[in-house]
Amino acid sequence: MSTLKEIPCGKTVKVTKLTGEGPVRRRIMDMGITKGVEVFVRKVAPLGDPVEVTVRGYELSLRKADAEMIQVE
Amino acid sequence: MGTIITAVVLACVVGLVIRKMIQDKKSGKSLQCGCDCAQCGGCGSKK
Amino acid sequence: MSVKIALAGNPNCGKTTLFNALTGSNQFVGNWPGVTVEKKEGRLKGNKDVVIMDLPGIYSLSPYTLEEVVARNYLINERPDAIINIVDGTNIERNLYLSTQLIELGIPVLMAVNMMDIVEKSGDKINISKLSERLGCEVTTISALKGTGIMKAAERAVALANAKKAAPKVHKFAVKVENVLTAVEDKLGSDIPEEQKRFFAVKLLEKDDKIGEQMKKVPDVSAEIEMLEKEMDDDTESIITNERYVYISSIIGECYTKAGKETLTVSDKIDKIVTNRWLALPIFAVVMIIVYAVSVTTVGTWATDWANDGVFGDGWSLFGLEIPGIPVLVEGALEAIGCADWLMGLILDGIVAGVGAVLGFVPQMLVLFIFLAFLEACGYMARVAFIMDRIFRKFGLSGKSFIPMLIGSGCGVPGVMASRTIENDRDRKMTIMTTTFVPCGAKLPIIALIAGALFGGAWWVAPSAYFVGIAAIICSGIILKKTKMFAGDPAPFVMELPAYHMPTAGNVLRSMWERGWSFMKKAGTIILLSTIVLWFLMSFGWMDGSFGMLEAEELDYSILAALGGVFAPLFAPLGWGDWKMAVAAITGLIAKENVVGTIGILFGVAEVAEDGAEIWEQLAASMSAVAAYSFLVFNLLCAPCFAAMGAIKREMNNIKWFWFAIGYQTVLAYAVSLCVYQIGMLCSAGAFGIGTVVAFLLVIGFIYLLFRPYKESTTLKVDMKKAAMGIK
Repeated sequence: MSTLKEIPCGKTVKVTKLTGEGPVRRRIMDMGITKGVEVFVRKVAPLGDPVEVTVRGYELSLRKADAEMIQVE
Repeated sequence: MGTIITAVVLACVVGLVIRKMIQDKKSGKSLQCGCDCAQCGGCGSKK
Repeated sequence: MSVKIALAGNPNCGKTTLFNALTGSNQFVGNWPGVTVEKKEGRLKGNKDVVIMDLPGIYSLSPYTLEEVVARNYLINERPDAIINIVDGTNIERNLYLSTQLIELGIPVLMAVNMMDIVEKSGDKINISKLSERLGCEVTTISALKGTGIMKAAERAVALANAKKAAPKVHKFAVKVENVLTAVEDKLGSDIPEEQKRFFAVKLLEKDDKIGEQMKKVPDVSAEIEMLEKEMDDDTESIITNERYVYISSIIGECYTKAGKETLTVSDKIDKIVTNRWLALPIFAVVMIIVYAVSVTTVGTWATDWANDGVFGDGWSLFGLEIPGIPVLVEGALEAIGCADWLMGLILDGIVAGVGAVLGFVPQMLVLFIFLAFLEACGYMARVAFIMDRIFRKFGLSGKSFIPMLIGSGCGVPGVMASRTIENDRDRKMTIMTTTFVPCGAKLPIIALIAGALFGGAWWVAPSAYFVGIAAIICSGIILKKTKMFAGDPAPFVMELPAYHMPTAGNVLRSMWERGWSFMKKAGTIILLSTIVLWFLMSFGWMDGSFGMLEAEELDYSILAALGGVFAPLFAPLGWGDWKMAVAAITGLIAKENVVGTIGILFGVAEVAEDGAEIWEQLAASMSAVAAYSFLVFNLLCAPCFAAMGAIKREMNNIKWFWFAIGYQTVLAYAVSLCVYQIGMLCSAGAFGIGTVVAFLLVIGFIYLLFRPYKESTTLKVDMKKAAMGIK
């Protein structure tokens, strides 16, 4: 079990759980990152943060701090 | 003669400008911006 | 009888394009999620009884962002007769998430699948009739950009509105969830209409804290929530969200067929290079340099010179044909009709000089606006936020803060407005406060004047002005981040990166024109009036005990001199205690363009070019280089013009925050200018006094504020919900 933050570029992972609370979590869920969905880590920004992922067929960028809330396998 | 004509024209222009500004103010546009840039939509611009 | 139809959909799905096509209005369309931040209204072309509302783009009807609350309150309270739900066909899965929520509202929904042309081109297939059957609402396909199918869509929406039949709710969640939902629905009071019950039940179950405001009586559903949470081992908010996506996935499988092999789209290829780990920053730097090299130095200067020295100067030549400048023409005309000298003075020295100084700047602005519009429309801005986020976060801002600042380099008003796309309250306030530090278009003439008059046109003055602005933003960010007011939760940064597309020329030109036009309108109204007032104030005064009109060389006796004299001592420690400069700085509050215009009028030259070349000598004689730089810094950083202040007030939506912002800017400007002057004088002339001591104390205090220890909170507090309610 690890978080999305630790996943290197080019890997596809499956979301198992979202930790944290409040608006950020809801926003992440609203954008389609929910339990069981496959997330492809596309690239990392030039300065190492944020990351760009492909989820449900579109590109999404999120910060590593927020990616830490997403548990994947 | 020329002075009077010019003065009247100028007074008219100033009057119109002030009226326009008061109208804008009343319709809530105020001095915010040109209220045209839908980019911001900040003035709820209606065209 | 009029019919109200609301356009709802995700950000960047083509809502505004459709709105323009349906109403024929010219709203600018940007390729940046969240361009529409307030609802807009228009009438359907060819049928004036139909009112179309363009709602802000939203991903969900959650209570967490301003746009979402605006949209859903509108949908609940105003109850439009029908909703056209625009769905981006190239990104249908996430778009349907909002659709499932819209259908629950009990308002007839017509789903318009947009960008069908792109979907077809890629070979993907969407089974429309199946989609309609599974979702329980009518579905049609359109291409908003090409205009295909849009009128048909509008007609169907009107028919739906007139039939007043809400979509039968066919989408169902898991049995457990449905059972609880039914139980909650039964608890709802009679004030909720039958067709809206499901929506309210879902929201209550999600523990939505803003929904209570829309209800007369809020039933207690904690028992149901607890039961469901226990049963599903998750919180209700996630359960509902999950259920929606599970449901959507089940539809997608049936209705959507992908072309098969995953090929890289053009957008992907561009993105690979543009946000490449090594190339992204250099490319970004090159883009910025090109924008400024063209709009500020080369083409911009050429255009401004032409406008100022030609159109608003002595004249210019077109293919060898001599065309006289406007002041020459006006003077000739006035002389011809025998106008009195004083009136000619008012028109030429007052109006033409003042308004001309502003209008002369328009061509350069237009060039800059073309670039900004292009960058916005093509989708690069979102990438800039992506690239820059790391840096901006270091000083308490977000990657999205870059957009307001970039736009702010054109004009602070749209810049401040653009800050609305920042969801986090703290980031947004910080961005609003610092955006106007970026030298806006109207501040460029001040820079040009000071550089030309006192530094012999030294190359480094203009870049240093931008540097001062950027340094002010960075330092303010760091200092403010550590204050109590801004201490808070780390900001979320979850942003869609839209696919690139080539903006249409019409779109870019329209945006350029709208922004440019607002500049010109300002010149014709507020600046026109202020130049007239200014002229009167400086042309009349008391001399030798009697009030009357003054000769040019008696300026020191004018009303303006008296007024300026009151403020001048305030600015003496900054090195420019001359009343003329004080007046110039104060008139800058009306519009920054006024600073150069005022200096031009006060130093007695009929009309002043962009860089004020005619008055360089007088200006240089009246103040030292250090004082001039202090004047420049003050004008760059102090409170912006009234228009921008209005924008700040509006965006802060809180009078206390507004005054805090303005006060902070002015105090910072005063302190920095003081330091520049006092320390500058110490270095250049060896002058030492109380002022120098104060300056050093300020520097020490500043460094302390900058480096004092600070612990950034790393955990999210639940209080954010309360904060979100507080700003309402």
